[in-house]
Amino acid sequence: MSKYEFLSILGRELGNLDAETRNEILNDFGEHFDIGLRSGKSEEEISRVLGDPRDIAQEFSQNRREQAADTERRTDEDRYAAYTPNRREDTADISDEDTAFSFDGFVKNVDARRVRCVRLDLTEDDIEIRGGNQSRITLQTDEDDEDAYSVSLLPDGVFYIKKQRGHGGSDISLELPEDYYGDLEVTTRSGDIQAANLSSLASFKARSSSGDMEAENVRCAGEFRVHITGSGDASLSAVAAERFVLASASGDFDISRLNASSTLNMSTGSGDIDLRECKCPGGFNVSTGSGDIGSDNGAGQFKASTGSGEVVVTNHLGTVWASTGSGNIEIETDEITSDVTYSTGSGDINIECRRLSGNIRIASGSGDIEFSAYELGGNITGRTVSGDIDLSLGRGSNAVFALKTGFSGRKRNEFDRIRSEQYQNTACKVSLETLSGDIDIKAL
Amino acid sequence: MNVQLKKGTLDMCVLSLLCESDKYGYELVNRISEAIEISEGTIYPLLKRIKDDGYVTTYLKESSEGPPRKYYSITESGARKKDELLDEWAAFIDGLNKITGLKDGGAL
Repeated sequence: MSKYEFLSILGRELGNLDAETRNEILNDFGEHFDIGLRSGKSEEEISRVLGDPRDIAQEFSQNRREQAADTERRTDEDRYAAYTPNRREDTADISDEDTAFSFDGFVKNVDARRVRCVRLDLTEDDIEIRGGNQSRITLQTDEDDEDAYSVSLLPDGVFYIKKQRGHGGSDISLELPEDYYGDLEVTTRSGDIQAANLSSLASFKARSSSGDMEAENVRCAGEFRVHITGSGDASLSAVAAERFVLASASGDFDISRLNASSTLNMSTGSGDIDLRECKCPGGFNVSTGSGDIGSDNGAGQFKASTGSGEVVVTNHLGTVWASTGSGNIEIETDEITSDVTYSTGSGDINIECRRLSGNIRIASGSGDIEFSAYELGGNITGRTVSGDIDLSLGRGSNAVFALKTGFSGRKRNEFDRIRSEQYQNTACKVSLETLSGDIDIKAL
Repeated sequence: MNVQLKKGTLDMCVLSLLCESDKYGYELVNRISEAIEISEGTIYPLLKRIKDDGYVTTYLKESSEGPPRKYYSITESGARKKDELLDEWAAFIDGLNKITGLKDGGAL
């Protein structure tokens, strides 16, 4: 088990404890891993001898229950001992926090162990957030007016940075320990947001209006959420989270190497969506009003819909659903295992799969339809008004055909010659219809 | 070794090690797992418990390599608790020896 997996499970199992205690525990284990790694051990080795994080979480929870029962029975002496002022940690904490103001900006440091949530409330500022090899959270800005931001560490562990009214935009950078475990929330109006190299966030939330959002090398145990209310674009690369929720009013999404352990939901009003090497076992739900949707080398059930754009999904693993008002649909996947309908008003539809085990319906108003499958295990229904229909099926396919063309259309079916016997009962039904086009069926 | 027995004695081990000098978590885990076979992760719940009980305190100390480490330091009541536990343990061993005929902790 990797450090990330170990801490994710532990964090999840400690959900019944308060956030401060939970973060303290996760920090302790983070430190344990770091020291172990420095001494040359692998993450796997370290987690193996630590034991199952679920059992460890159990012991913490059990502590908690025993303590609650114990409180009643405590002697006065112990009670006194627990509150002796002999607590060096407190003094260490205070000196850990420092602020330096100077003419050309200021720097503020805070001990990351005390923080469970970093919240930035900005306006026009561009913000760069990155993880580094340090234990503190450092906020740095080129703003020379120290009243431009209110910066505070709230008692519940929220490190809160707010841009005050009446101040223009400036550049801010925030450095966190790379393994900071906590929430990160950024809101801005027109500023850009950049986040990089954060390996164990609890959750990530970014909200902007016309600013762009970029994230690279970010992993979250929980949700990763981007909400762009205006025209900002979002670009994500090498990001992992339990689930993703990405929305933009009119911006584009450019996403590569995304890993969701459950689901990905994304929508944009008029932007394009481009996905490369994205994996999502719980399923993709992707929609755009008028943009194009593209995905290459993805894995997971994929549902795509666009009002007027095209849908192109290539080298995919898993069933792909697609519908568009007027664009083309092009799909290349290993397997279609569910019942699926592909529809477009006026575009062409081209579906290639190695194996079809669900029933598919393909419908285009005026476009051509092309479909190919090496292994046929489901029914095919295809209909277009004025386009041609080309079908390629594995030579061993057991199918019965019902083909309909208008008076000017030609029908050609290689299976007429191949089939020696018909297995009527188990055969897949292939029903194709075009009003003014041709139908051509090939054996692969 | 029996789980419950091990659990009780681990408190004793941690408190004894901290009587020598302040130590960080990884160091404590290492010292104990060298001598006794344990799931290393169980030391942290124990540390949290004895900290909540006021037997140890913690502080952060810069390290020459990497980020600062969390050190554990024994309190007066922690030192007393250790003596108490060791006395109880010695009495227990005595009793055990009388019954089983083993000497000096023998092949326990």
